[in-house]
Amino acid sequence: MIRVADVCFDYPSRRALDDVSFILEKKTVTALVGPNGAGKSTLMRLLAALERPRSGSMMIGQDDVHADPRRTHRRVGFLPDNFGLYDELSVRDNLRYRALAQGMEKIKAAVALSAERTGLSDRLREKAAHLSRGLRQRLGIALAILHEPDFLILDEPASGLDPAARADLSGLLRALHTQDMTILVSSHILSELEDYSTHMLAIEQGRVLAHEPLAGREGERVPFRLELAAPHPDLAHLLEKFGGLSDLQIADREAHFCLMGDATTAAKLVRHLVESGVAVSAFAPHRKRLQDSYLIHLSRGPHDQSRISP
Amino acid sequence: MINPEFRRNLWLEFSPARLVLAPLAIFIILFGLHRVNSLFGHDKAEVTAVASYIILGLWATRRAADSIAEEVRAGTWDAQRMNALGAWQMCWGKVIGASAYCWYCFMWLIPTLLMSGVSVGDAAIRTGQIVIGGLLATALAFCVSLILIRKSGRRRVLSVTLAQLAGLAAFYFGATGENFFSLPADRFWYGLISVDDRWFILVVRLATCAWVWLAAYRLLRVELQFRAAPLAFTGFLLFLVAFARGFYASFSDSVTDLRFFSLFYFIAYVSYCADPKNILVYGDFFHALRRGDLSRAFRLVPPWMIAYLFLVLIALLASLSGGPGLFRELDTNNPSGLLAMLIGGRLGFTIVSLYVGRDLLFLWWWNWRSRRHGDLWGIVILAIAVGPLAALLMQAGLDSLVPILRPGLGSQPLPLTMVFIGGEIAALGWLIRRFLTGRREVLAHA
Repeated sequence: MIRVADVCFDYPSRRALDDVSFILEKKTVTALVGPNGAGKSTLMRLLAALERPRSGSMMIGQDDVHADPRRTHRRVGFLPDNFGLYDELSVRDNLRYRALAQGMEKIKAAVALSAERTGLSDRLREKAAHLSRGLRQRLGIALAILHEPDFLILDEPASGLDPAARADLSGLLRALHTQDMTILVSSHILSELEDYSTHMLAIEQGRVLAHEPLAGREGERVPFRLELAAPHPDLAHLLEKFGGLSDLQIADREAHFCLMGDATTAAKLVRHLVESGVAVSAFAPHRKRLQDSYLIHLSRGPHDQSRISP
Repeated sequence: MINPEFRRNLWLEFSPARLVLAPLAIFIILFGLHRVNSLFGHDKAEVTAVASYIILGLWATRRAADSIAEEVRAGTWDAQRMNALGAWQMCWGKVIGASAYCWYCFMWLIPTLLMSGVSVGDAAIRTGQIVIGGLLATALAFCVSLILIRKSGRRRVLSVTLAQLAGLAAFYFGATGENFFSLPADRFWYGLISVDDRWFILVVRLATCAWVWLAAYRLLRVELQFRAAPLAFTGFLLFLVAFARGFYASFSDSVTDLRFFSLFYFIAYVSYCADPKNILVYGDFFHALRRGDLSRAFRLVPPWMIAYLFLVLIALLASLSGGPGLFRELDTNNPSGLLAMLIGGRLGFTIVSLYVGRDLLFLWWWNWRSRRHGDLWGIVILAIAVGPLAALLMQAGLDSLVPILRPGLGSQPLPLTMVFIGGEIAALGWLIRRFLTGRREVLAHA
């Protein structure tokens, strides 16, 4: 768990972060969103222990991020916005150097694993200078995850990528999420963040606008959307009979409701409907749209953070 | 295991083609230099020395100065700051690694030196001197480059060139065979060894080299976010006091000598210019002082304040030691001499140290007012004030106002000088306080 409490950070001429507090649960992917100059990059640099806050605390697990920055660096992988590579070195040597500099022991295995996770196994001999923008981004991520960090921070990883490379990157981040990594990622392309983020953290003018889940978690009420091939007169009755539903709204061949329970409960509901003769054509969790959520919060402006909870 | 930073530099610097190219290029350069020098009757050893100056004095210093500047430009510096290498590993890995190819080229000069007819002993001594000079020069170029990057926050060609020039000067000091201090050979250091003795000069150079490497290491510690109180800098100043004292018969003689005083005068200004002057760090420092947290205050104190404190202490000791020491080795019959214009007598050093304090406060305030070229423009303004402007006042017959700008002539009354300089220090102190108060919002969380 990453816990940020009452963090302030100043540049000589202005305040960049003002009493920022939030908690990132383990194994979540949080989209850090906000307008230019909101303090996203500063927040990421603070979490990576590259800068020190003026006040407040940041904890990764039980460790204070800034009490021992060198220790934090061993637990965090960071890909800055304007990251660089050693262009004259091959992909393999870039990875080897980082593994050596991180004091790792099984260098070959670590390089091979990181290259495999980022799909660079067949590019190891190529010079970094010869890689495309998308592949450079992959190498940047490979370098950031090489030492198996608990927490990965990616600042605008999709900037400058073409649509194919972006889709590629989304796939990579989804894969990293399935490998139990906690990820904080910033981007201006909200639709892309939506593909792999579980939470949204919005900031503006150095203050937290909102921090909320984009999809439900186990034991929570998850919004669902049901589509039918043909209308069913008893749909409302059938759904209510199943139990555990709330906020039910039915319109012609579509229904929206919240369901308490996990994936098994959802599967049982589908079977119940099908066995009752309902022509189910689509059934899926109805994720909040990141962009909508962000814009709503942006229009409200910064508010009392005590009301914000992940 | 080889230092990873050094190894990375070797990967970048050495390719089979470059390995072969070095001896070939060295041969061509030496041949060319030999042809030119033979016209003026120079021997092969001198030609080799010139080549080594070019390779280590010019080229290696550039490479060392560029080693961090390149990382900043390429966007790899953040990743370097986050790796697990210690400050010392990073320091020597960068300085030696970045200049590794230059050292490899220099290696090819050694056989030439041996073939030039000098004895093996002499060749070893010359090689040793050049190696010390090279180590000193590259480390100093690295230090200056790091300081300038910390100040400006980005890579600049001018910064790297300045760092290279500092390295070149250090190379001249470290590698030439002469008595750099030009002290008379009959002077003994602590009565033990002649200052002209070859071993004394060698040890002084080695000590200088060690201090510069320590400075590079300490600067990197700060950059890599290790805890770094200015212990090494304070130790360096204490070492300087002890070292310079060795040239005099007594401590009283040393502190009342102009050269001794000038050394710390110079360090006060240089350390001021080297400071990044981050207002937030100053805010934290004053806050720690107010809270009485002396350990934190010491960790945050800007080195120039320590240097200035040393200067004031030396000035006070000089004043208490008695005698118009400032004029010890000056021709007092020559009133046009710059130093003769300074106030003499027991309080001479103390008065000068107050003017230094005034200058530093002015530069400090000016720097915050005008971040762009703050130090440079501040120094230009001060130079105009103490030079042409003071001369104009004198031309206009306003001699009594000269102490506003600089220590006046001996004929001016001491109380007037004290009133002027005291007033200026108080005014600048008030301006700085006002500036910090105006930034209270930013400093509130200190």
